Amino acid sequence: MSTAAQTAPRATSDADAGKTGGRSRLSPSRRAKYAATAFGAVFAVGWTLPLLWVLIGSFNAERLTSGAGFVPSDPSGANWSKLVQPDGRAVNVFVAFFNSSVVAVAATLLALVVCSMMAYALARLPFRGSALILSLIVLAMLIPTEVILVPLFQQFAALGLLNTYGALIIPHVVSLFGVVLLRQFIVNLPVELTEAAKIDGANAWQNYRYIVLPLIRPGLATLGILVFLAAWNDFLWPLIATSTPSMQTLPLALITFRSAYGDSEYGVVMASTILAITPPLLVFLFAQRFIVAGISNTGLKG
Amino acid sequence: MSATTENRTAAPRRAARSPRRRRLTRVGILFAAPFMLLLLFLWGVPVVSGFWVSLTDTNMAEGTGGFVGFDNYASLASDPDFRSALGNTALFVVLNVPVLVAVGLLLAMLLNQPLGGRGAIRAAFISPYLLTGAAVAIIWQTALNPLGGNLNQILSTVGLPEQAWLSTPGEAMGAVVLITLWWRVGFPLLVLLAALQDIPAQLYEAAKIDGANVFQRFRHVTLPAIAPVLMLVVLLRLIDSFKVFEQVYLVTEGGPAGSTRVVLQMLYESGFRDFQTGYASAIGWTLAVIILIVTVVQLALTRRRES
Repeated sequence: MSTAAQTAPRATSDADAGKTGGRSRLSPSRRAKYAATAFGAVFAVGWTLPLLWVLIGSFNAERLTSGAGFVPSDPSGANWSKLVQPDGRAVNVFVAFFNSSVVAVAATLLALVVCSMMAYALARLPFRGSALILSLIVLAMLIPTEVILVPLFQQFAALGLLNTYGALIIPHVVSLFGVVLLRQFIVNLPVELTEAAKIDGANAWQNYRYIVLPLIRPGLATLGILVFLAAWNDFLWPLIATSTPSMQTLPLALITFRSAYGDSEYGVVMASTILAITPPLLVFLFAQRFIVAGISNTGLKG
Repeated sequence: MSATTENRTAAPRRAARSPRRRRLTRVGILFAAPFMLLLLFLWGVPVVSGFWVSLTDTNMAEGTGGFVGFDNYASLASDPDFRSALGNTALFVVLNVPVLVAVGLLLAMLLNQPLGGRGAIRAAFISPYLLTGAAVAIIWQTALNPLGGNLNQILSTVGLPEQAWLSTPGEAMGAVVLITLWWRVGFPLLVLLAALQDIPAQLYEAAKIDGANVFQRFRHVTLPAIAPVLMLVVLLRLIDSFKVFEQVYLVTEGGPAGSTRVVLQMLYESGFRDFQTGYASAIGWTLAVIILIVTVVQLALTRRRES
């Protein structure tokens, strides 16, 4: 909430500055604004063109080699009906869609609970060594996850968790950035709120659940969206952790699909790509301000 | 915290306080426990065990696993495959980081102007950032297809010869860098835009009054103001670029002739295709050390510039 309120007025005040400067006919500043807008718009359309190609391609039943891609000579929904009836195919895209949904939603919910509890402990219930743990978390952010792929795989193998939802979900539950972000939100809350609740007899859990959580909703939304996107889009870990098509998430299914049918039925691959990119884009459409806040924060807090 | 000063007269209360604080501590640990246990499982143990495994000749297919000291690291140093993977990764880093940060900064400066429909334009540049690498690879492999791909259609419409970018050794890496630019530019764009918006407008006004032109204002107002954030963006992009994998593996599969095979692809192939677990762990640790060194050097450079 607050983030949107902060950016919106800024945008309008900039626009006003442009307007007041150009009261007399077409002032240079207004002309510059129009030129910049036109330039930005053309550039932006060009940037999204590849996404448009995918959409158009999904209605193209021709082979790629015969010059598909631009406007199909004979647009048809055949690719989409092939997706819906995947008779005899190695990968059912809808199974993958279901897997991705389960993994991303479960990871998001668990990450919100686990990370916010940790952030609450660090911010309001300091225990021995908690300051050290905070600096360890910041330090751990420097070690790339990819580097520990092999031992991580061995651990999940030892626990018999490979090729299960658990293996796909658990690595996304721990968000180092999430803890740092939420801790900052909680530290910034006025202490009087939780103190007052304490005097009224609220214990730590009630304080966390009924006072802190509702107040840090913007932070939770930001973290939740980032975890959802990371889990939905992850490729390398699911590639390693799954071994059967029935456990594949969408990014993997796309690639299996491409190698199986990419040459002959490129339109079907395009249609399944649309399926894979629509949820993240929808999330973006409806929660843009949280994504913007999340990414901008990554930069500022490292 | 200030118990001693405020409660000098109320000794009984002070006595009652210390067990309460101990209980508070215990509650804090309870709240932290789920995260800490998962962190231990997902980070702590793998970091240590990964290093241990890298000192063995563990092979999941052959069942070996004896201690060999630093032999894996020694063979890495003389492995031509690893050298070429490291070289390719370095080339990618050197090309990708400046391109991404420069274009990100230019776009951020464009979006910092009072444009009409600024939100929509910003959304257009960020949207690829939300896609999975698999989709990005499919989109661009199709577009760059030498037979009827969209870009070649554009080239032939304009009258230029069609290109087989992805199968030409000199061009494949360039294509990967441009694909990465399209995919990832949203990050530097957003972070730098936030930094630009924090610059007080008065600074520009004052510079204008002093007669500074556009470039002087950029050089003496914009750059110093965003320098700390800019260095941070460069650092984060450096770290990320060393871990490049999906867009390369899925678009070129490391080809043509291994010219785009990067370190992470080698780690994946030796660890999970050839099951040389010990060797793969050594690759992982080497990459981690390289990234840490780069981080430390970059932070030191930043600090020296600031002082």
